[in-house]
Amino acid sequence: MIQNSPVILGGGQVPFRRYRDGTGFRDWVRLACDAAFADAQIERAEIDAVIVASESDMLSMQLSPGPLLVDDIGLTGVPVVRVESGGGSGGAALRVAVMHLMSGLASRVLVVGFEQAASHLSRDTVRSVYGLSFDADLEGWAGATATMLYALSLQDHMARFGTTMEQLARVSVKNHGNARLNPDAHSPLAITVDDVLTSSMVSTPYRRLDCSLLSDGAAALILARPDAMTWRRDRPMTRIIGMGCATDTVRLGERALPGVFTGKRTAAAMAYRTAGISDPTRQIDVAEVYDSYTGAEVQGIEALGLAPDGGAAARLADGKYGPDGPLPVNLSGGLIGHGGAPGATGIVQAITVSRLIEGRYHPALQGGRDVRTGLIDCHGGLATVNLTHVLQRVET
Amino acid sequence: MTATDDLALLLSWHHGRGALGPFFSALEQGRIMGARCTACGRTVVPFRTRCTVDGAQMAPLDLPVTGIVRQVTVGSASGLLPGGLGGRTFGLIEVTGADTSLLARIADGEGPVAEGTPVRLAPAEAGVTHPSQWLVFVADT
Repeated sequence: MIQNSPVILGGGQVPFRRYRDGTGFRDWVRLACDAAFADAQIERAEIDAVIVASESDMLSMQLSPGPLLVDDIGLTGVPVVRVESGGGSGGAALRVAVMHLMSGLASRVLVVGFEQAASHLSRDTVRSVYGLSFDADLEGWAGATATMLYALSLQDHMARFGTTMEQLARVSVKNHGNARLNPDAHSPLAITVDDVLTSSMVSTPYRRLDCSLLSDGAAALILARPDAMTWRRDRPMTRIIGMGCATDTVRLGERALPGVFTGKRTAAAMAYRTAGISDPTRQIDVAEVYDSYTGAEVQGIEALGLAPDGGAAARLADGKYGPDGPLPVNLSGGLIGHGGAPGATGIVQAITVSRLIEGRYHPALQGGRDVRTGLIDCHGGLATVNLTHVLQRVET
Repeated sequence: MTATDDLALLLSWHHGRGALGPFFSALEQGRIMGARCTACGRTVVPFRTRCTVDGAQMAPLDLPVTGIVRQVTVGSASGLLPGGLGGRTFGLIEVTGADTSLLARIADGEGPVAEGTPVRLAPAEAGVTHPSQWLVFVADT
């Protein structure tokens, strides 16, 4: 277990969507932070470090957002670090926060993530920008898109393991369906496998309903060293007991197995080792997995050791990862249903899993489940930089 | 509800090709430059300076301009490619003599190009906005 396992005091988020009301990321961050402080029941003066995550200044039109946001939320003077790892930026911010606490550099850390990915720029402009998040010189400027690269990776997986688009469509049905019970979700939909398979083609074989959304959103989380906090008596608390980070080659063609998320596998192994998890299929109760595409959820589940290579799609069809299954994946709706605001996503994953552990998630999704240990996973690029964390209930 | 404003910023970069310069120059001349690891002998494409396996320095070498389509996808390219918002074909190409595959655009000839199709590097097009747009393969008939 990681030393002095940091405890999650509380968190808050704004709903993920395309905001058309004239608000922007500075407003959403303020709201998320207000909610986090209220949930954590601590004062601003108790924060001694801030970590800010966002993927791209091109989307927000704000360079160096860290000191700006510290100023906006009334924490001027407090140290701030801005973290970026593509879609894994929120997870990377969580990692840096844990490092601050483990090292003794800070006692109570505010982690803030945001992205203005939906309302600021046109969809075509965002697609061009995201092409530059892979190898800009060799792929982005050649006109390749994120969906093309994910589609090529998926095709390798399909060729190796026989995964079908019909199997993957169930990911979309599940995650959009879970989102219907999440008031913060961007895309709650009641859809069928056939709806997915007949939606418009984006980049073969990925169709529109195979793809996650880019959203506007913000989230905040407050973490503390266990010797620098007040233990709650009114509810259970959650600590971070394991974490891992690993990279893969940036260019898909240089991977020995383009359809396997090898970097994620390494990150997960690191997280499990530090958490003392020897059999994640038995010891993990829930998981929030980075489902940028339906195939990415399946590839992610396998890389995280929650299914053997090539085995996730069949287990999905059997209901293993559904809301009523033994290992629910993406109860929040994931990126496909809840939406993806990259800087905030990893933080929302932590809020989701910690609240499931604490028994206080959205009632229709919490149900009567007793969650002790959860996994959160996010990545940047094509699982090029991977961030994995294990969360667990504090046993009193 | 607060007001919104439409803002525009046009950015123009004076962008150096750096270590990829020789690779792009080779493309313009109808050649493919790969790299061979000076330690393990692994041959990769495109050219890179360090081996991803052992971190050793890599030496440039010309590869054949032929290959096999490994995977292919058809979709809207990004607006960074002139005329790219229409459908374009991209694929992973197993270049002859290389241990890795190369992401490249595939020009549709008489029909869509399928997996397993032999391809060759197409002549460099004029009017590109970035040298990576010279990396185009066509079916090798």
